[in-house]
Amino acid sequence: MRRAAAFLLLVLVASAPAVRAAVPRDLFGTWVGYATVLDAAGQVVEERELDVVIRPFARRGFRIRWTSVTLVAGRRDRPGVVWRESAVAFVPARSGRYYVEAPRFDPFRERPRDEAPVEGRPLRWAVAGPRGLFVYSFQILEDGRFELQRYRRWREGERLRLLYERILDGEVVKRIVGQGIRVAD
Amino acid sequence: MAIVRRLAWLFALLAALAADPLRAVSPGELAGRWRDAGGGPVAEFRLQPEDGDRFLVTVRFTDGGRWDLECVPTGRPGVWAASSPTGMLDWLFARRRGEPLEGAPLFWARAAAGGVTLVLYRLAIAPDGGFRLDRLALTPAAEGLDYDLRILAHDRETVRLAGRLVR
Repeated sequence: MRRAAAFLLLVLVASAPAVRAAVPRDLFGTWVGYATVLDAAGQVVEERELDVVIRPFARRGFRIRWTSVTLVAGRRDRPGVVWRESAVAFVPARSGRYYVEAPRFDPFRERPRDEAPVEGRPLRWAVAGPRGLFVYSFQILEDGRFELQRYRRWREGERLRLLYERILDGEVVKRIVGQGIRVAD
Repeated sequence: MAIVRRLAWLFALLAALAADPLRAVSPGELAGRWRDAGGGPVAEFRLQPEDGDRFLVTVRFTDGGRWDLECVPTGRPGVWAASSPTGMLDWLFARRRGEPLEGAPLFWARAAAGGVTLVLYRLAIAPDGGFRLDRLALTPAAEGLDYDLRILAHDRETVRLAGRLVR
């Protein structure tokens, strides 16, 4: 009996997270800046203005909200300007060493939450470390190819740097490079 | 004559749409046992067709890695869900098959290039959140089976390797 209890204790200790995920505190705040969108050949496709807000979420998570304005001839008051907004919250994964997307409450949700990834359910996770905050969004498309979106945000002095890549079945088809400065905590 | 040509085009289009991608991919040219033709990262590839558009695949890599997969059709044409046998650790930690965020690798397969190429995928996420995504595309060639292996990983450049297998 004592041996069984010791074994159970050993399993529990072994399965507990030894190292906790780093919280990206140095990225918390409200940032404004610019970004350049490049196509697969590295040609500049468009210029955008960016707002990024990164804040704590729940007990040990964080939330990122970003808006972008696609400029027309370098201005945001011309016809054809596109405004986009997106937000995602992350909470620690079961291992405690990275983050997974926090479930959203949506009473009108049509897709069952337990849909398999191979049926198209996106997977989103984040890794915080010395090289910054990496956010991944992965999805298997209708024809079986995959789409992986990779965001890297990191500090360089007082600036926030951004690198985004859209990878379609192994090929980078879009890249965004940007930078911003903190305007509020 | 014009209407005959149009009907021929329509027939060809409908035939292409109705083609079963598995029939084009697995039994004829990919089925069987293939081995490395020299120096490539894939040591062996085996494909065994089963009933109901299912098939079994084994891939053995020269670095010691191995995939043993059962591929079953999904609701999406030309796309298969693939699973490997579950082990004791999966049971102990209640990992669900094909859930990388719970530590269980996700495998799937698809037919590409009009059913000529079979592409196998594996996505695994490590306990620290670092991922590895393998994409192995196999295409019959005149003297064997050509393959293209791409490895994507967390905070790394994509690695691209190619090789040939012979029957």
